[in-house]
Amino acid sequence: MDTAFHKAIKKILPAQQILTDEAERLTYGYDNSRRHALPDIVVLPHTERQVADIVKACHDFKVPLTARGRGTGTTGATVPVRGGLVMSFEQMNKIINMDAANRMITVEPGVTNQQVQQAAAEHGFFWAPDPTSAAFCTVGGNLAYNSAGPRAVKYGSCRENTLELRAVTGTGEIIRCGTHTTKGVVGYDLTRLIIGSEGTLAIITQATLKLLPKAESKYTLKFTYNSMDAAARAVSSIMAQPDTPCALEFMDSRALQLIRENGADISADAAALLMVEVEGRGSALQQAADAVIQAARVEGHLHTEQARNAEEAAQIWQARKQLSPSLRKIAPKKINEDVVVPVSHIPALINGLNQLSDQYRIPIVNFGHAGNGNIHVNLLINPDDKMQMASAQECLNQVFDLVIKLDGSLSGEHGVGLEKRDFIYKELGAAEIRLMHAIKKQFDPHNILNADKTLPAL
Amino acid sequence: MTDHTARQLQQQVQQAIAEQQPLNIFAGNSRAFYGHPVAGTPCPVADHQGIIDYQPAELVITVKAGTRLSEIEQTLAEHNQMLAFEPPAFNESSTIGGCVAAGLSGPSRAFSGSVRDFVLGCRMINGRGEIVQFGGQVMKNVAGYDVSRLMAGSLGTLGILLDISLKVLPRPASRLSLKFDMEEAAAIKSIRQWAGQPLPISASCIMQEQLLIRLDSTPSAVDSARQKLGGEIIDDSIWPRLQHQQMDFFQQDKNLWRLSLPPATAPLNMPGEQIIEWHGGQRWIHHEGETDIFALTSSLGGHACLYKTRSRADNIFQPLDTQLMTLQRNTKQAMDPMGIFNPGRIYRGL
Ligand SMILES: Cc1cc2nc3c(=O)[nH]c(=O)nc-3n(C[C@H](O)[C@H](O)[C@H](O)COP(=O)(O)OP(=O)(O)OC[C@H]3O[C@@H](n4cnc5c(N)ncnc54)[C@H](O)[C@@H]3O)c2cc1C
Repeated sequence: MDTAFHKAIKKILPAQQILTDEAERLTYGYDNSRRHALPDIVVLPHTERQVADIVKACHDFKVPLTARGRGTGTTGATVPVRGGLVMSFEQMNKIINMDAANRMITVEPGVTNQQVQQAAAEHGFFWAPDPTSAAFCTVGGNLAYNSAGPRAVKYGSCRENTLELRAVTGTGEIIRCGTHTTKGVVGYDLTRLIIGSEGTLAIITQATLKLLPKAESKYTLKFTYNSMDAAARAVSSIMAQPDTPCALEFMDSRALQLIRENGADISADAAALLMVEVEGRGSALQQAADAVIQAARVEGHLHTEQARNAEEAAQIWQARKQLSPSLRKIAPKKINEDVVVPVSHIPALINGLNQLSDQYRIPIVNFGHAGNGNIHVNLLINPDDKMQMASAQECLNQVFDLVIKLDGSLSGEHGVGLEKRDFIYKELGAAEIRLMHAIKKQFDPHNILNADKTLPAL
Repeated sequence: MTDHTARQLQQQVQQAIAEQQPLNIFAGNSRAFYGHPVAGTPCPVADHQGIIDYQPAELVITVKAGTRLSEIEQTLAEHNQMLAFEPPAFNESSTIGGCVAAGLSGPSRAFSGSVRDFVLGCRMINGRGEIVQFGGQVMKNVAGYDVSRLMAGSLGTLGILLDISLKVLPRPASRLSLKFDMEEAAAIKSIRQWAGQPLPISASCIMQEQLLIRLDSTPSAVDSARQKLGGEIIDDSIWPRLQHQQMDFFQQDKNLWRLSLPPATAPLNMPGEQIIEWHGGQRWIHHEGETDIFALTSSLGGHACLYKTRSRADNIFQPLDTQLMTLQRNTKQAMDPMGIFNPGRIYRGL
């Protein structure tokens, strides 16, 4: 690497914020996609000024720069495939201002999702995005991926719950977009453009997040159905009633089979399961639950269970939590996709997936956020089996074709990164991708910010 | 489905590009007052109209951009659904394309979200004269950049919207409007406290020493909120008049400013009547005096817009700092390199 570049970085940062040892750099080269690449240098900035100066240096020296939260992403977006510099936000982790009066919180990008939730909860609030990885993942990573969880069905994802960003573009300019208000756009909505751009347009240095009041209490409900069709009809029916539930999760028959084997109490005739959460207070809460129970009783409904306290609710969610370890028992590796289809197409998707599973002899287990059609599709494979790995790729290709045929999208929350980049052509045409490249070029003329990620080459 | 009107528009754009002649895009022209006037060849888009697909069970409607808001709302109402961002329709000819382009939302903004939050995807003509499509009809999508949301609020300066997919929501089961007599400062404080609690307050309005609120939820949740809050029950007719800006306040022949402020901002103590919405976040004022409203709102952490003006104004939207302005121009450059779409409607150079 250019020593002049190293010198430039040393002028910006004190030595303890620069890692050049190979052993240290190694740990900054992977994410949860299990890809790995070694960065040439790792920096741990403390201030926005430092971030801007480093980006400027990378711009001047044309050095690739990859921003990094905690590397929990699943699609390889934070793997520095071109080497260069990794900028880790682990030390930019302060909550700058918790503004209860205006229902917002301003944080540095390295703050974890859970820290935000804890600070907000002290004032009776929460931030809507709730990825399962909340304890580890950072706000910067959440925003870059537009991450979300079960609550998105009612409250939306990062894009709907971020008021203002401070960020540094690929030329090292500091920008502030959005405003500290509920209504925050002046000119073009660059905030939303940057959110979900996977660190390819700008580096986020500070975010003001919109907080929502926490409900007083919740009820958890569980419904089983004799077919996926029946369950999908129930999802539409639940979503059509005026009070949207704050979670609406499902599991398909193969997922149920797995948790049954692990001792979960699910009747043998159940082919699909829905887990629903409603919130409110007092009699209104029971009324909301009753409305959902009513809506869920479509033809093919088998069984209803309502948790009346936290313990019973935990039991219902336990089934869902058992799933991941069970998957691991079947196969050492799972290819975990998070496709989206219209709710009424969920049965066709599951049918098609079952056929592909049989055709390629790869177990496929499906569960996820049914309320917005965001389905986690898990291909269970053995990475040591070369034949199976090859057919898994072909199978995945077919999975994506199926999703597009059903008017869906390749990803609802995990992003594109490297893993899905070359499938994006299935969803976006050449003209669309050219336009996105044109936008990227305006933000990052030297193509230093996470090049190769998200957008396929032209 | 014939796409005749889309092709006609595409031809007009291609011709404009070839001749380097800017276009002045309009549909119902009901929002002509909003933004700077545009010098360009008239480009009417209202003929590209009609509902393409409506799936009540999916909570999605896809419409051509020239479709009238009234037609959409009526169709949704037949299935007990609605556009939850309550777009203002200034007259019968207001279209959904104009509504998305202007990015204006109504009284429920602080509760349900903005028009942008409900745009799932769009088909548009870009600055190369190509028809391109972003997003889709599903509720979540993180494939590529969020270009369809960029179109919302861009006032036609980035391309011509052809078709738009929007998320729709069921209508509330129960609704109740309440009135409280209180001074502005007390009203701002009360709504601030209530908005911080899980209460179904779907709209609020402070004017003439009164705080008006609307509760939208299940009957028992509305009931329990009512018991907690008290107040005097009023009829619901105020909200559509506020949404469509039909009250006398909006009709006056004076400069009308719209201020976006942190909701807890104290009363502004400016002369003249004001209307405060969105739980304190949006404030309408008539102002003709010397005060620099842009500087004032900026110092309070917000921004302003000269919503309606009697004369030409240098700045209608909050001036931006150099860095952000450059990036806005760069974004425009990426989408519309020849600068043919509504040049100058928001800012000079956009
Ligand atoms: C067990 C587990 C469960 C998970 N559950 C969910 C889930 O329920 N829902 C979900 O959506 N995801 C989930 N994920 C995926 C992952 O946790 C999220 O995508 C998370 O948001 C990534 O955060 P991170 O801090 O680890 O970011 P990283 O993985 O380090 O980075 C992610 C992306 O963000 C960019 N980035 C990071 N910081 C910045 C910054 N300051 N400015 C600009 N770009 C930046 C990186 O360059 C990269 O492109 C899960 C992962 C695991 C391992």
